[in-house]
Amino acid sequence: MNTTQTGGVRLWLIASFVFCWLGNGRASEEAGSERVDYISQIKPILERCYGCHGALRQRAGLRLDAAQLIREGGDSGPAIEPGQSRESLLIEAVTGEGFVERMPPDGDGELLEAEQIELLKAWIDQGALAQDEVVPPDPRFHWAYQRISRPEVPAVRDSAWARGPVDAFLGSVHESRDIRPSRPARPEALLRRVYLDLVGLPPSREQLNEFLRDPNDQAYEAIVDRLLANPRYGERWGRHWMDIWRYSDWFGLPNKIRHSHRHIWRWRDWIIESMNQDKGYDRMVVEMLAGDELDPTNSDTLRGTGFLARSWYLYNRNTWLADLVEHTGKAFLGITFNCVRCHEHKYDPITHEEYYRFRAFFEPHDIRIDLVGSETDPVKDGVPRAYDADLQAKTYLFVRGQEEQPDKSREYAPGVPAVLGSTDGTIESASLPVDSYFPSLRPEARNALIAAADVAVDSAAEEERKVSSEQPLETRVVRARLAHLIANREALKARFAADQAKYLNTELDDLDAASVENFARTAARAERHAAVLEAEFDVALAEKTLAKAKSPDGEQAGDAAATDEKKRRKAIADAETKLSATAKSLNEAKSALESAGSEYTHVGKVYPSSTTGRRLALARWMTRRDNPLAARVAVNHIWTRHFGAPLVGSMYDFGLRTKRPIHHDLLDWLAAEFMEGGWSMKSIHRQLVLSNAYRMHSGSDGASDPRLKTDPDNLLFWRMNPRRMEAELVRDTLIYLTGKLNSTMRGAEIPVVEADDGTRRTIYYRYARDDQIKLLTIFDAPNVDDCYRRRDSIVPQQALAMTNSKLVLTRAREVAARLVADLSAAKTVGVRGEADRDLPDETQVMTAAFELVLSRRPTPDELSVCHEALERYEALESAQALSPELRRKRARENLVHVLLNHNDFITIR
Amino acid sequence: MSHDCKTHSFSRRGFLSDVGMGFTGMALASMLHGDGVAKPLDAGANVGIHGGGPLGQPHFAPKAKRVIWLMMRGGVSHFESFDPKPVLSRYAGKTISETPYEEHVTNSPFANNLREQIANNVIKTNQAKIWPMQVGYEHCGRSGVGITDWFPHLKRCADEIAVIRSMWTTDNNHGAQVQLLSGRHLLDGCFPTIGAWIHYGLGTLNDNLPQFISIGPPISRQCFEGLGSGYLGPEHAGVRLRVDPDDPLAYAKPELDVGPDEQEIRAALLGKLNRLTAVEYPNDPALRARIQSYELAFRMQRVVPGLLRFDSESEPTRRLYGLDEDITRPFGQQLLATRRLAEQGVRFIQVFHGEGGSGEWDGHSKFVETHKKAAAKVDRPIAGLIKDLKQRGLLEETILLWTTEFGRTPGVQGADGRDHHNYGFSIWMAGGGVKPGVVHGATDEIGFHAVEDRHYVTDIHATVFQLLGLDPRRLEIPGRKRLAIDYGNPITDIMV
Repeated sequence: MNTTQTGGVRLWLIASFVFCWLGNGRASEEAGSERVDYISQIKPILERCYGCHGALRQRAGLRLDAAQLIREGGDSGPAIEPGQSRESLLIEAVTGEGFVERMPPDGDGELLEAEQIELLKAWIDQGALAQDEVVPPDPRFHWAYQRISRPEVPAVRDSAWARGPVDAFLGSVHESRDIRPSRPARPEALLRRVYLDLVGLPPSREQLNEFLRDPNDQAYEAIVDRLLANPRYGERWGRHWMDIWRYSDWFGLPNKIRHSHRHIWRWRDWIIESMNQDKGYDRMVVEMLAGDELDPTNSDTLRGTGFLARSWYLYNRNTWLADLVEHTGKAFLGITFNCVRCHEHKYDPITHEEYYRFRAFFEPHDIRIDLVGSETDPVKDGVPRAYDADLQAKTYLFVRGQEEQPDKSREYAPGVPAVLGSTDGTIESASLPVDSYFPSLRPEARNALIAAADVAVDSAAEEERKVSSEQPLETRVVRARLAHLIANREALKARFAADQAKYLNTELDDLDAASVENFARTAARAERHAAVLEAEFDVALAEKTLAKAKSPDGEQAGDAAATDEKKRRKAIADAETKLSATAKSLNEAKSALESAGSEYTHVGKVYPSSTTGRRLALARWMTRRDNPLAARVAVNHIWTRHFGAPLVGSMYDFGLRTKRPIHHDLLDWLAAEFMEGGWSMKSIHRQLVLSNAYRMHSGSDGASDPRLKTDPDNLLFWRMNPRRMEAELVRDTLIYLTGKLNSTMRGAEIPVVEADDGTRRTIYYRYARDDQIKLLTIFDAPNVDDCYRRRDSIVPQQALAMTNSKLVLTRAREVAARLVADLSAAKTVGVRGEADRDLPDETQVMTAAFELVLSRRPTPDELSVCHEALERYEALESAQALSPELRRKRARENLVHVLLNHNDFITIR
Repeated sequence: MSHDCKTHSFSRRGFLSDVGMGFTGMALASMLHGDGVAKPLDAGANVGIHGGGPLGQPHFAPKAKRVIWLMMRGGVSHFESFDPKPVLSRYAGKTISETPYEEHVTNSPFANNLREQIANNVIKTNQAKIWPMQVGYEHCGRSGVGITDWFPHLKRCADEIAVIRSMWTTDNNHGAQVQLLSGRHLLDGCFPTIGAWIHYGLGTLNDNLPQFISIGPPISRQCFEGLGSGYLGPEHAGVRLRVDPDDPLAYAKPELDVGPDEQEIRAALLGKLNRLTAVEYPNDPALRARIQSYELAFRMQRVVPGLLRFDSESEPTRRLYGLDEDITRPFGQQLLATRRLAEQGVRFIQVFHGEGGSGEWDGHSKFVETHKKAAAKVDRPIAGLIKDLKQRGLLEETILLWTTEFGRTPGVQGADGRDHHNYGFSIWMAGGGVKPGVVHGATDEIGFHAVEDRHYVTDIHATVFQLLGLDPRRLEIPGRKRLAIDYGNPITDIMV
């Protein structure tokens, strides 16, 4: 590709002179139509062709991505004849009228519309006027595909401002653009910012006042460290990553789950725990994609593969894998794989075949639920986890992405897109420990199953003791059941013994094949014996039913009796049929017992005893030091959630359409720091929140601040970006302010209906496509299928919810009550040193309310409008009707409610 | 399918610099619409993604300016409504294989237009016995369109409406309700509904009112009640309104006891405090947008309940909508409210009819009883709406649609029902830019497949876009590839 391209470039250059001259010389105003502009009208039409006729690929030797190359043409000659659209191959191709293949090819995009073709024709007829352009470079040199090196930290003039590398990188950009960074945020704004940012909850009044006494650097640093060590951190940041990793509780119907899995909350807990432990991001990626291959018997690790379980889809394996491939690419690598499933990538150097190679990493895998602890019912509890189910699974390319058209002439081995390197060496399969591929043999699983059999026997024995001897039929049934359950239990034990002999002890010398065979025979016999007893139980039951049908209890009169007689005859007939069937089964069971060999039923499902190692190889490749994308994509996510705007705007697409970002060096420095610092997220958080950049004021200096003109979008990060609280934070903070937030962690998802009155953090409530807390949906809760960045809309529905919902009104009252109680308590113990009265005055309450709800003290102006409102309230007839105590209480509730609706409550300044 | 779910809902660049914050309705309008609140992508924050967005006004001269979209939930039988087929009675009791039409049905390429949510959901077409027409019909109006006796009032409106008898869709279960409104099968996920698109594409007609309102029992929560805006952003989603003067809007009234005077004091204090904050943050567009959102919310909660009181409506008008009869009153009230909202400047009003998970028109059994009753509930109010809109001069600037998610089978289900039928069904349109009194398209002899001038559901969307002067392709959001079928084609035959 390289050599032909170089040769080609030379040719194009020569050719372009000729055609330029031609083009310019033959400018004509055909048909009196308006002059067609190449850049604004023609290029947008041709862009769709670039995937095959551009820098990426040059099908038929043709490139259309620069004017001179269009004139040059390809293997069939010039693509256009300036002045003569009828003679131009390009027009033949897009109209399909001529001798060249119709473009775009069938299945490779939609045909051009008639108007677009007319434009092309007009442009050609007018002489195909266009300036030569810069020829797009070889995509392999795209910035995001280059190995990440650690850029040198630049020197900045204002060294006092630059506390560390983050500031130095931003500072040097500021200086080169001649823009001054904003002043520091007020200490109270910074404190609230860092609290909400790191743990998703605001500071308490005590924490606020302590910091305000002496807001020095050491105090701030100590707070940052405390917050990062707080378990609330994992809940706050776990939720961010749950967006990116598409966390969703199961959805569909309870009996027929369509997406995700039961007990997927265990993955949520794994995420929160991993964040709190500061598990390396590299390790997290490996555990999510291949925890089962890495650590096959550790159920804590297996929870991580919830990432894979989440993409599970009942109806269509192809949809399932397509989603998984797409979002593995977007979440970890910033690669868009979705379009390359059907055809060559239109923008990026990824081929249709490479898509299927990437898919092959996942081809063998499936999802199952492993039991945990003493649970024997996977519906009640378990760990949804990935495993390789089909070691021979083959990957074929689907022609045009259509699953009904696999091209079976070629099988694809797993591989990553060549432009990104390769997984070195061959992918090695590994054998699995028996606990992994035969999970029922784990001691807890065995004990649980046998204990369940014991319980069944015990309750049958209890029945048997209670049954009256005057009920011979019933007695027979109960005894038969007991015998059957006992035999079942014995058979279960014998089967365990046989499975253990076969699967656990294979390496012992003294246990030869014959004794394994003996165990198997015993198990087979016990199982068949149990089957006989079960058949006898069935017979007894059928005899009882028949007897009952023949002599029903009680007598009926008149018409009812006639109908009953009909019913009775039918019941007898049915019971007789049933009895003869059970008798037949019994005979069969008996003869099976006589011919028992060594075939028995395993005590549980036996899965493949090895795994392909494909996913592990993929995950390890992703997190290798030389992977150009994983660390960049991850630090961009982290940065965005601290600074309210990304370094690279398209969070999930670092492909060719994404230009080298302004802050490229900063991104790379962070990425290098991330990888070399053991992929520790907490150390990246520290780097960011301790920077001066993070501590800046989020506003401008007045309305006419010149920086608003120079950089209105704050692309240079000359100030902090204010943000809106995410949906979860709104609810969590409301509850937190009442003092009632329940700090319990972990556990099965809590039903949505319990959310209004519930006090757990929002992350623990059910969240699925069709089942979400309503308040969250109003505040732009994440799309479960795809959310690389949250919206932060501002709509009247939010205002109505905050003003009028029972949730907010109730919590406002609770917050007010708590506030007054706290103040009264403080008065009594004299904390504020002004305990002259037992009850706080209104200014104190107002001040405290500002401190609690907005994490700052009110200004004199604010106090005065609050007092005004208070007076207005007290003058109301409805207020006058209340006792002074109630009136005051009500007024305070009103104030708190207003502050909860204040812009600076929901805003992270 | 949303990729980048964070979109700034206001434009930082377009931020006005006045700090007086004395917002007039005009300022608010420009803030919310003209000035780019509706812009989906903030070019600054999305380095590397192309910008784009709606103009907040039509792209070309419109024929109408608002939409009233009636949706009969459950699946109205096209036979017993607007596509009567006497031939059913001739072959009653026979299977389709025993009729001359077997070839048409089973070997039709259209039979492939099926994507089941739940496999084998529908009765076996070939084994079911054809069920005769369950009601008589008449040829009505200039076009002579057949309308059944269950719709006596609509018969008299035949010259106002354009009946389309050749609709088809691919979902044969009630996900088709969402499909009709979003163009996508439920299994594809949740996509913006047509109301959200119109809201996104056009500016406001009244600053005091939400521009996309949904009335009546919502589609079950699949895809956000059929009023979702998907990747267009929640600000474009429909606002649900209950036609219940006591509680017409979610959170429109305090859910605990807070008196109106207290509310006013709270709102005033909030406004003052936020404005004081604006002194410190004079250029914060979010702060400004939030102040305005509270003001709109406050106005909405004052205006909306009044709109749903009918005291000022004359007795003849009330009768027109059937408020004088128990059977027609509930839907009549909804349609009267609809007209009032339309009159006051709501852009897109979506009215659902039919309670129950799958909807009242879902005639699997007791078909005659249920369909007849459902028709009796809506027939007079809808005819009344048409007349009322017309007499007030509103009809010519309103697109009125009567739709349902699919039709029903020619064969009988059980003893007395018709099952879901997605291969052919009827809808009608009326109003601005729509040819009155025409019939367009046709199903085959036994009403199985739409065969003539076939229209997938998005052709209705394309027609609405066209009549409103919008080019949906110019609304496309970068990164949200829409397929040709998502756009559909305008049904030009029924357009003036």
